[in-house]
Amino acid sequence: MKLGLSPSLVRNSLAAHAWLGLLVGFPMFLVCLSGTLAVFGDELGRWEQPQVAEAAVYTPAEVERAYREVLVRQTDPGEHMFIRLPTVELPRLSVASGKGGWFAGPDGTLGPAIGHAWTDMLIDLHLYLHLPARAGMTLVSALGALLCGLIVSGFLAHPRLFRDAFSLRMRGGRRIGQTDLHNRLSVWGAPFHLAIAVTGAYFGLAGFMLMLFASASYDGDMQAVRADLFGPDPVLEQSAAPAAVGRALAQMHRIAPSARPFYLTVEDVGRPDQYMIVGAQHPGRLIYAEQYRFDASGAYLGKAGYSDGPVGRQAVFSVYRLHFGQFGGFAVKLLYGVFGLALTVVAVTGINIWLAKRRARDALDRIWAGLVWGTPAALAVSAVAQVVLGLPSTGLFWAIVVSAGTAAARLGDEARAKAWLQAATAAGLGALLAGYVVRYGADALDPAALGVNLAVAACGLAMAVLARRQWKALAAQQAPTAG
Amino acid sequence: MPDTASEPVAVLAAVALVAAGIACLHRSWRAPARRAGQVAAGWGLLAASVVFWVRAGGVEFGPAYGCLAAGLLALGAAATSAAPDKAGRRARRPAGRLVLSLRPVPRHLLLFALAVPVAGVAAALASAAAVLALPWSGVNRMAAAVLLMPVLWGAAAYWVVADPGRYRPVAGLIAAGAAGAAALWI
Repeated sequence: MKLGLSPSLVRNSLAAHAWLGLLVGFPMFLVCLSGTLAVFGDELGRWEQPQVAEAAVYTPAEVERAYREVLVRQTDPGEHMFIRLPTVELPRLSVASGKGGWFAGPDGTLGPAIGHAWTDMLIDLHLYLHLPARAGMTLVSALGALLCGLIVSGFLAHPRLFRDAFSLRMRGGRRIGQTDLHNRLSVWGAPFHLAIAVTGAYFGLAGFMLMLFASASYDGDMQAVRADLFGPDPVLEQSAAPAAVGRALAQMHRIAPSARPFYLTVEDVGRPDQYMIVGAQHPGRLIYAEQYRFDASGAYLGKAGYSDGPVGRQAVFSVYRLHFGQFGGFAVKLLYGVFGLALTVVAVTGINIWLAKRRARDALDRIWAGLVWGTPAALAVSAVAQVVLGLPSTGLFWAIVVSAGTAAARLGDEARAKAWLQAATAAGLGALLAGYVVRYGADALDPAALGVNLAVAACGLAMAVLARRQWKALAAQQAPTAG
Repeated sequence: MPDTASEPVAVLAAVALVAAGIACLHRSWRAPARRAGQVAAGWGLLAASVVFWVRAGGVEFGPAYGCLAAGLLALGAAATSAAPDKAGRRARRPAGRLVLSLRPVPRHLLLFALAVPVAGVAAALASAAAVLALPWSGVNRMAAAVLLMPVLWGAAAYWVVADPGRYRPVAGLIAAGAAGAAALWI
């Protein structure tokens, strides 16, 4: 199949595709790589704290006990409190406010403080690129919109995109191999990429769009817009007693027998208008949750209507699970991992192709190789620092990425820089695994940690193989030609 | 209906149809001559698989499963047919020094301003105004606009950079933004 596109349209589209790709290059790579790992955020969080007691079942009384104990420890918890209810996928009960929180044991007594700082660092990288929240999320969402432009321009720039959809010349010249890899991953991942782009853009751009609607149709009243889209907040006047979370949860099997509650929030904590939201997943539905609302005494007020309200409300509440692959069990997470990694490779190979089209190799080739291959090394070393040694990881992550780019520029050869950084990543992952076993002992074999540890070992091994292959290729190039 | 695909027969049928569809496309696109019938059959089988994905996973998850499965099998097919390039390994490009020139910077800054903030504002206004014409409730309009906006922004950014006539996309963005603003506030 060949698309009937004029040569000038193809030429201009290719130029636009390259320009947009260069514009978003490295941030897109970071967002894609961190997003791929963030799909496994629950698993990484459990791995970071393997000593937390786990149980998939709980009683409302145990949850209430944990909640009240946190209220005793935090006399001023702020406006919201969040209770994560145990599920089969994440069998941990936790109670938190904006000022921190704790896990709770199966009997509701508080255990260790919630502290998966490396996973949080990773997720913050994906959501905000470690920038201030509002600016970072807007920037990342703009990347989603520009990814839509890259998808459009990519299709219009390649008239033989379908005809060549199975052509993969990996052992040819660098440019041909990179181009084939870029195009194959792009065309077959296109539905996934488009879904990720649109849903990713939603998180940071929805607020601006709602401001537009508020200004145009709601006399600037953002509360009214939010009430229309997400459902109005209940209007209550009660005594400021602790919320009866146990009573609210105890009613859920009667209110929504097939729903699966997985969180409870207390809004406007301790104020006369405080109320509770029980978030519950509905089987077969993509919505993040239906919200069941209760007053502070635990009396049921009604639901928000995400499961059966207007289609638009259901659609916007389905964005999260679609973006992060939180449906269909672990198999879908693995598929999101594969396609997320594919999008990461597309981001890198796009820049590689542009670099390979230039007549000479220079510092840009080396800096790019340093940044790309320095990032997994930075993730590995920052994980050693945070998870094994308890040191902060965000600054270290960026210091390593910048150092890798700088060192690669000075090394004089991007292939050599790539080999060094692959070896450094392999060493970092090896150190992470060894350090983890030393720090957590038998907990490293706990099912919650074992899967991640095996993945760390596999990635370390893969990096070692890549580094070895790269060194061999370098040695072959430097060997004197026979004859 | 659970989140995971729950009917093994429907899952097997869906996977078989996807595999058959990908096989048809693979055979036809790898062949030297055009095979329109095989291409149509390939796409048809992929479309038919969606019925079974929906049966297995429900109307909300089914299409997502179908897209993921088709993409995975197609990439697998591409990987199995990976071939060395006949031209063989080429020599590395010669090493050179990075020469930075400030001359193209103003043009790129202008393109950036048009493709990012200007196209973004125009896309926001145009998508918000476009949904006003739809016979839907306010909630549905807002949701449609929020999901439409990034696609319009991306398309507008592409247009700005791809169009060799510099004034045409600028005029188009201004017109779209102004029309959107007029529809929203007048």
